[in-house]
Amino acid sequence: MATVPTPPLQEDAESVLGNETDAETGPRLRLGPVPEFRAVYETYFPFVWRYAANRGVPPMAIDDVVQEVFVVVHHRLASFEGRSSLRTWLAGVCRNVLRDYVRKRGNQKAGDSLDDQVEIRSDGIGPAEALEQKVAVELLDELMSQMTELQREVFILCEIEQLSAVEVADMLEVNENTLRTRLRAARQVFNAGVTRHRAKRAWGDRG
Amino acid sequence: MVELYPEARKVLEVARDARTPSRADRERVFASLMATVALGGVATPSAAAAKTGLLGKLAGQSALWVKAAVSVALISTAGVSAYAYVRYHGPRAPTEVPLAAHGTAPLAGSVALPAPPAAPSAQEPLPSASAAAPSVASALPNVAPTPARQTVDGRSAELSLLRRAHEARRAGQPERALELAREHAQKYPHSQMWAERETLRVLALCDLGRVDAARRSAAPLQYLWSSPLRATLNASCVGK
Repeated sequence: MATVPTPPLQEDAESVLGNETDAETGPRLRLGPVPEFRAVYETYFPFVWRYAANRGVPPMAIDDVVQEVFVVVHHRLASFEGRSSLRTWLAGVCRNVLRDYVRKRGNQKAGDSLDDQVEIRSDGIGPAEALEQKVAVELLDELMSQMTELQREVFILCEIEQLSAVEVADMLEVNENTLRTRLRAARQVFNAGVTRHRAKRAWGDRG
Repeated sequence: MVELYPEARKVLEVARDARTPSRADRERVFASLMATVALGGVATPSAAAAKTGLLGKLAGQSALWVKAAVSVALISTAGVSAYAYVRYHGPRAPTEVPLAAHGTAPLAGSVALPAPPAAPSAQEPLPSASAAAPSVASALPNVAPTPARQTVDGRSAELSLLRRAHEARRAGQPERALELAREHAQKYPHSQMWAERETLRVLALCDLGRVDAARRSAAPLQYLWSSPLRATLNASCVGK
């Protein structure tokens, strides 16, 4: 029978990962040959989850996609060489897994199934907050759909996940100028969309 | 350099919070992950089906690890393939759980079965920390963000109405809130926000002390067991 490791829940991942934080590249691992998997999971689970959600993985499939990412991380963590931040490496794994997911998903048209319902986390928030979150998520998705592929990727990594321009440029293999141009364009799309939405909402309030 | 406007930043923060997973999500996925790793480390469709169907239901419960281990043993002895086939191909009925009996951390196992996940990338070249990342053109997954079913702009009037109803209740006018909720139901009978409206109606009825009517209004909401509104309902007069 296969045995399942039973580590306790790591409440304080920093105690394993170290609390050194580089403004450019995020938390750094303490010296050691291989980062401890559970600590990596605890620290980066929210990042992987949000990245998948923002890249369009429907709520019903997100558990599986996130799990796939960490299965790969589990297998490959020992080979992590530490030449870039762990987060950058993880984002690369995410992108590969997502690419596989898209390939498997095939040409299923978006908007056809329950997969496309916007879901938000359930932690006992009130109706007003739930409504605000739902609107914000839908607005974010709508505006990101107006961006180009690269703009969207840059926007997610830089604005939502707060990765540095250096990290993202390195990960996407584009130069920093290109990245900044895409980021500027993405911000313009987002600013304009939010302004338009606000104006229409204000107009609705008057009615 | 163009920066995000403050209101745009605010929208982004709210959306980011909304998409940040809960502790229950973290534990559920970890339990399934460890089971998958223990089953061979590669999430074949069978393994994926098994984890989604059985192990996913263990999430959010105490002694998660013990249960995961027991589940793995059960799956192994009963025959992974047969079980997974049934779980994967068979129909999945939603689990009905009484409102008051359900906790605030919903499980994700009894909703529609998702498409099988992508095969793991273990055999594929992975982005190494150095230079193995593929080029942008080939690497970026061609996934567009999920489009909203209804455009945000088209929802402004509806939102406005719901907001007025919420404000009326907050201002101590539950009758007015009910009136606006009725108006919303008439104008938008197929609204995506019917759950928010009905929750508001339940709360307003509770404010008025009309517990029986509140319970009747809450009845359809019990099937939304994965809704974030559940905890709100549980804390209201219908959940006590």
